[in-house]
Amino acid sequence: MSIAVLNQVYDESKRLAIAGSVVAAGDFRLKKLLPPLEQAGVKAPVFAKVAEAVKAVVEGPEKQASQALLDLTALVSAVLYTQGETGIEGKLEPIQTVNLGGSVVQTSARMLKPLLEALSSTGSGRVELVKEAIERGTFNDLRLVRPAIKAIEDPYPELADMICEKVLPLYGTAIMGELKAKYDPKGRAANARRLKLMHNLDPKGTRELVKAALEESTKEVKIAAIECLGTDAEDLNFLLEQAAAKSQEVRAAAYISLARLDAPEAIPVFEKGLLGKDLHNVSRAFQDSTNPKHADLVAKLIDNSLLELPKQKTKDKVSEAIEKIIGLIGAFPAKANKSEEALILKLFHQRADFIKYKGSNYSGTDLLETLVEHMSGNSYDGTGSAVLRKELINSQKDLPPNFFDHIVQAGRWVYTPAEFFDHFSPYFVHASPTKAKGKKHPDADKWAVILDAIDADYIHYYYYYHQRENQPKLDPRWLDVAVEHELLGLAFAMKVKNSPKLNAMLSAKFDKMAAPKSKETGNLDDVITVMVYCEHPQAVDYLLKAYERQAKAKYHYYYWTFRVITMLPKSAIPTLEAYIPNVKKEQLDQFVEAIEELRRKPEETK
Amino acid sequence: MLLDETMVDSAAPDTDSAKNGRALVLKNKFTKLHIAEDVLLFGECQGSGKEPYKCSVDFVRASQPTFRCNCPSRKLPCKHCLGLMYAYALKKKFTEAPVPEDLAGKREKLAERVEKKAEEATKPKVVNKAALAKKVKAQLDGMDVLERLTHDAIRLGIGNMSAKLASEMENQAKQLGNAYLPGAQAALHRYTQLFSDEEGKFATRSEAKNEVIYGDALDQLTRLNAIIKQGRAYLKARLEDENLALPTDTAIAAWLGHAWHLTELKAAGLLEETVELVQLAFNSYDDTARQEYIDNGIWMSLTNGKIHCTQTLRPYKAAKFIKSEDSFFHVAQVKELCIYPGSVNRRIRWDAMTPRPLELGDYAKIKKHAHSDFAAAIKDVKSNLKGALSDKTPIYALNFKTVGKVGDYFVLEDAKGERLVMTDVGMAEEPPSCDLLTLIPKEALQNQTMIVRFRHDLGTRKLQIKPLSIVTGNTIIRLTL
Repeated sequence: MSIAVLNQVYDESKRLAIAGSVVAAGDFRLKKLLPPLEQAGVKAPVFAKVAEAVKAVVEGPEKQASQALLDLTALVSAVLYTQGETGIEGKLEPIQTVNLGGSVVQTSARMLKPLLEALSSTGSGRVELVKEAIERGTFNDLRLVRPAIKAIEDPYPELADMICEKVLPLYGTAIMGELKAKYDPKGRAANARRLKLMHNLDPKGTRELVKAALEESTKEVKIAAIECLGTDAEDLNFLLEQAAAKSQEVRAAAYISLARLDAPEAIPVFEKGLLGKDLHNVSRAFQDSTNPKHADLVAKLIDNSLLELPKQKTKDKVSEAIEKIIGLIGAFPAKANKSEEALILKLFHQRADFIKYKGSNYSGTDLLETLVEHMSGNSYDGTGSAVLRKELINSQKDLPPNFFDHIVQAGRWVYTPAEFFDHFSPYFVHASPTKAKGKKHPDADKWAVILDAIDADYIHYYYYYHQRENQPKLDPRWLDVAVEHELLGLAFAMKVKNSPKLNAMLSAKFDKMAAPKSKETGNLDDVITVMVYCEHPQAVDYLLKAYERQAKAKYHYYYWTFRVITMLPKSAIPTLEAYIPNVKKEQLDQFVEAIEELRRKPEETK
Repeated sequence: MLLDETMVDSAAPDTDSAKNGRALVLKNKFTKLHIAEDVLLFGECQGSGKEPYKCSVDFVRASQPTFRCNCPSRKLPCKHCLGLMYAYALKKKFTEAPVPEDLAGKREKLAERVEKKAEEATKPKVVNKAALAKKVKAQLDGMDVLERLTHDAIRLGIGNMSAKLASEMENQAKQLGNAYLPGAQAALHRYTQLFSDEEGKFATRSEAKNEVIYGDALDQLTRLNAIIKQGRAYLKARLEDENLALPTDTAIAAWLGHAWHLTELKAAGLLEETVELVQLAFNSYDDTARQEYIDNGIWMSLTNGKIHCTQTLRPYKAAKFIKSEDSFFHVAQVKELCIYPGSVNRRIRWDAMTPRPLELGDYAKIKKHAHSDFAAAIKDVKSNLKGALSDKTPIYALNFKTVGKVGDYFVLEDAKGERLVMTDVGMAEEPPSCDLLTLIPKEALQNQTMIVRFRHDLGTRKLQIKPLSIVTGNTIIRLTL
């Protein structure tokens, strides 16, 4: 069958349909197809039928042209529908599949729809819904991939950033095509996110896009592109140029990428930035650097500034010089370095000399405070120098008492749990929160500093506490201190589970606080929180007792009481449900919602 | 009586109702919980008023429970009935009790109604011939309007379509609704909507995009032409023969907008008995031309391997009162399956069904029923596509040897080396699915069954497929929603 001529007929009828059948009569292009159609019609009757239909269009009365054209199109389409091309030539390559990290999740439409709505609409409550879905692993359902990609454009940046950080990397390079298709270098924040994400997923494959964005793009995308640089030596010249850009944000991004390159040419640029208006930007760029040259540069600049200090004649100038040194100390990379240690130790040993300097805003004492704080390191993740921490601890006697918190903090990361206990627990012998009245011991206030330093001074919000689980362990003997002095925060920080002595203390403390004339009923939530967290066997019963006791108070804010319900094990649900008839009407909804949240909580793996 | 929480969840009309129903149990709002004859749950639930609501769920017809409640909610089942079922599923204490008199009465009445309905179904339907003739005449007048509008569109030229013209056509299309031709009206809307953007406003586009739209518009006009011709012939024949039954060999009645009743389908013999169905895909979409949300389920009959579809139509105005359908992961055992007229993927409906878990043997049956020879399947598809009113995007199950790529195209290959190219173009009812193949475990891309939607693109003259699901030996991986 000569399909080519039929295709031509279809194309010509389509042309006429677009232009209007009023111009169909006598159409020479369609007319021209009549002879080949008639010729083919001799062998295949369908061509003859098409020829007849063509004649009706080009030769028929104008009034009937519309109907004739529709009939012709219907006939040709029907034939063409039977002639569709299938197949494809070429070597069949296997698909590069991406492991989504588990079995393919198949969620019901009713479950997926609210999530899809959250990803594609605006309004409150969406972040929580998405967070929950991330925790449940719902995003492993293939069908959420595309909506998640679209959520990069969400008007609420927190949601869009969360999707880029936690969800989209799950899909790996499988989503590169989609990201590329939607990427517009002339766009705003969403496209900056797209570029960074593509670079994160496939740095090599995104290289050209990054380079192009540097040439022509909006400010947001350009900043993102600059942040993607620093992996190739050819980036250097461009980055050096951008480090002198007018926009502070562009300079900041350029410093970050320059810090990734080990280029001697970058050092003078950093030096200029550190001594000029970009001290903060370069400090940020150096934060995660492991390049010793960066620490060397900072050490050199501090050294030079120290030499300049004695030359300052006015209080303003002294203040300015000290401020510069303080700023430079903050520019040291988080990871400890030899030159940093040497410089800081040198400064620390010279503290008697510089402490005497008095400036209008900053003085030598401020410099000492910065120095001590720097030596104690980061209390959250433990980054910092062990050499500096040890020196700080060894100098405890020579330092003013107000630096005690830094000493404890340094000790936390330098000592073993047992050493830390041996060193600092004696302060609890001299004083305790419960025995603080009466004659005050010189070390009476230090227990509070220690508790603060080890994050045991109060009951932390449950979820927040989980984020700090990388803290050094505490010696088990601290539990005795907690029990003896009824320190709930310390017991909480100990993370012990179902300890008889702790349980006994908690029960006794609860009874005391819940006593009829007690004025501490407002704090019962603290006790039950520790009971729940430390797996007191009667935690749920105490929680309900606390509720009953609190209900007698004139005012009580129940938010935390109900939050504690969600922290209970799921085995508590029957007891809680049985208690529902006793819950006051005005708290019933909150109580039931808390049980529902507990029910929805994923099973904990032990 | 087997009733668990997931079954109650799926009986709920929406997630809020399920949540509220469960909360009633937790808040101990049920003051009475009884069970009778092991199939009737009934109780009283304290509401905001003085008197409690009396609710019951009767499983005397296991596949079609009856929900009763004297609350004013229009949802079915209401949260009180759901709460009653949750209470049972959550093992709350139900006391044995005799069937209350009022419920016994209602049960009797229901049984009578069911019996009467069954009897009526067997009786020949009395037709008000005068009214029918009047209706058919009105429909024929409507066909004239449709013809005039279609001819105007082609006479003025698709390329000359403007916002004003589109608006005029849509206004005149309302006459079709008044002429009992809602299906034809929707088909005309579908034509004008090709020219509007996502917000329903007339849009100007690039030349390349216009070319695609013009192709689709011409296809839609030929379909309207077919509706006019076939519809008019059918209506004229009906006018001449008052006893003329609805045609069962063509879907023209549905194209004109006839809503088939189950009794009509049964009376016409469009019925299969004792069928087991597996849902292969499910999607919901907003059909702006019909002004309805459509929940579309794709099912395979394990009995004969035919692929059917279920459609729950939820008009915008009544959407909140109609329960949206959900994906179904079990096997539906249907005693009486009604099948609409049509060619491939005929629409199905049932009165009642009983679920059973999907077993390994069921996956094997799907594979057995699927086409292993692409060439034969393609021939079948092409033969169906040529009908002007045929489904232009039919769904088939294909057993493939491998899924791979040739250049940028995803390709499905059978054991004989016959290939089909995959695409998302032109099939917007479901979200795009081709790219998802890169996220599927490797083992699911070899020697499995793929559920696909075919489409012939008149612009490129290519017959291609869109993947909807992959059926392996132990699971169905759904790619669309």
